Amino acid sequence: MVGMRGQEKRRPRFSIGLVFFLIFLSFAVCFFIYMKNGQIPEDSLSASGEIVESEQLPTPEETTVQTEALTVSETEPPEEKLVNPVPESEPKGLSYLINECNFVGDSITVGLSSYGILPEKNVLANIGMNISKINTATVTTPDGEMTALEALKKNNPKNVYIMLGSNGISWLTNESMISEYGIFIDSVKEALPEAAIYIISIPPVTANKEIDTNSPILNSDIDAYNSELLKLADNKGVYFVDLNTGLKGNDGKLASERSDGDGMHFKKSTYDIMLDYLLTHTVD
Amino acid sequence: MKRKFAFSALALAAAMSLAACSEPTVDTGDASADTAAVSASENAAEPSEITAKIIADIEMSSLAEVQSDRIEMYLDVDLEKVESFSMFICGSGGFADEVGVFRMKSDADCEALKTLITERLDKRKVDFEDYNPDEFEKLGKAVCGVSGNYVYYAVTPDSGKAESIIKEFIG
Repeated sequence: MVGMRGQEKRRPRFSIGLVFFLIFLSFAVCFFIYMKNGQIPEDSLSASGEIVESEQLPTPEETTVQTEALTVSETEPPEEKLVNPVPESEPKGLSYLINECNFVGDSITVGLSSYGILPEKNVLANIGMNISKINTATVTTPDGEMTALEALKKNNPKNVYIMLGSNGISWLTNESMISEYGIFIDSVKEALPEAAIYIISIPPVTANKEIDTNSPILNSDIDAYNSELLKLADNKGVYFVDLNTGLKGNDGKLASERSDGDGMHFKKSTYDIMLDYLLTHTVD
Repeated sequence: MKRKFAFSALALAAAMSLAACSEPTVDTGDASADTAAVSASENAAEPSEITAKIIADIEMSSLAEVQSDRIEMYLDVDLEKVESFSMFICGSGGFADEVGVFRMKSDADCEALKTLITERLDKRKVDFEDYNPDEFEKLGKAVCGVSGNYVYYAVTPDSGKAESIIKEFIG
């Protein structure tokens, strides 16, 4: 009977603590597996770490739809690439320029309002304006004198047309003008992030202007500058409207009958040609 | 006695009849003033006539007319004080050519408008001084003045001719 008592003595005792430990261990393992597979997003946790929003797992049907959508989006063509110079488009009416556009420029741009073609409030230009002083020289607006950029912020147009360079082409370097132009483009983009920006190539001059004794301007210099403007437009992601091509003749010059006497500024009829070109070279 | 009375009454009646039939006395002084006023208004030159003559006789750049809907952008004039006006500016933006004639409702407002015009011409000089010396010089020879209830100015290649045309109309 000693053996029976010994066998009784060797039977392990029942431990309640062990039971609790095993239960805790099983919960811990399950929780770990759940966390690893659930992958709860960080924004679903509140500051205290509590889960504030739970996202239901997609059903098999939803998963299929999402997969199909993902497939379609991957095969859609990429965003339309900028095309410069702006190609010919369906013509718009004058109301487009009056209601949606502002023009920044020099005395040639002044003519748009002087001739009564566009309202003065749309034309932010001044005689003698050049790219080196675009941020300091003021323009006359119905609200008084201010810089072109200040006026643009005030008007908040959908489209901004800029034509600068005719003043300066004969005494400023292309490098300096393009550099200043780029800075101005950046400031306009920052001020009006939703606006479409169009750089207009500067217009040609007449044959007589090329041989003017006081202030000659060569069309070859104009063409070289406009080529740099085209590159600038591409680099900055803005549009380039090649008005120069629309105005010059087969000889690469502005016809004398289109000039208001000095070989550079326009008669009223020349502005009609300019408007027609702008209204048939837009981007929606 | 009765006859004397009758003859006296008859004479008196005749005299009164003659007096009634005669033409009324005319106050020659007042009538002359009225006639002169009518003649003056009929003969007053329209500003548009003056500017048209200047533009026709002096060769200038392409001009564009400035009407009441946009004059405030170029001249801050109170149109309530202006009876009529005619104004042209250079349309192309490249020249200083301008001409304007204003007929004011009151002589008292002429000098104030002349001051505004002078200020505009001074600003234009600043615009053109470095940009185009020839136009700057043209502005320096601009005609600007007052005659009666007219205020006028002209920036043209021939200021002498412009002034003589203006004087032909308004003295």
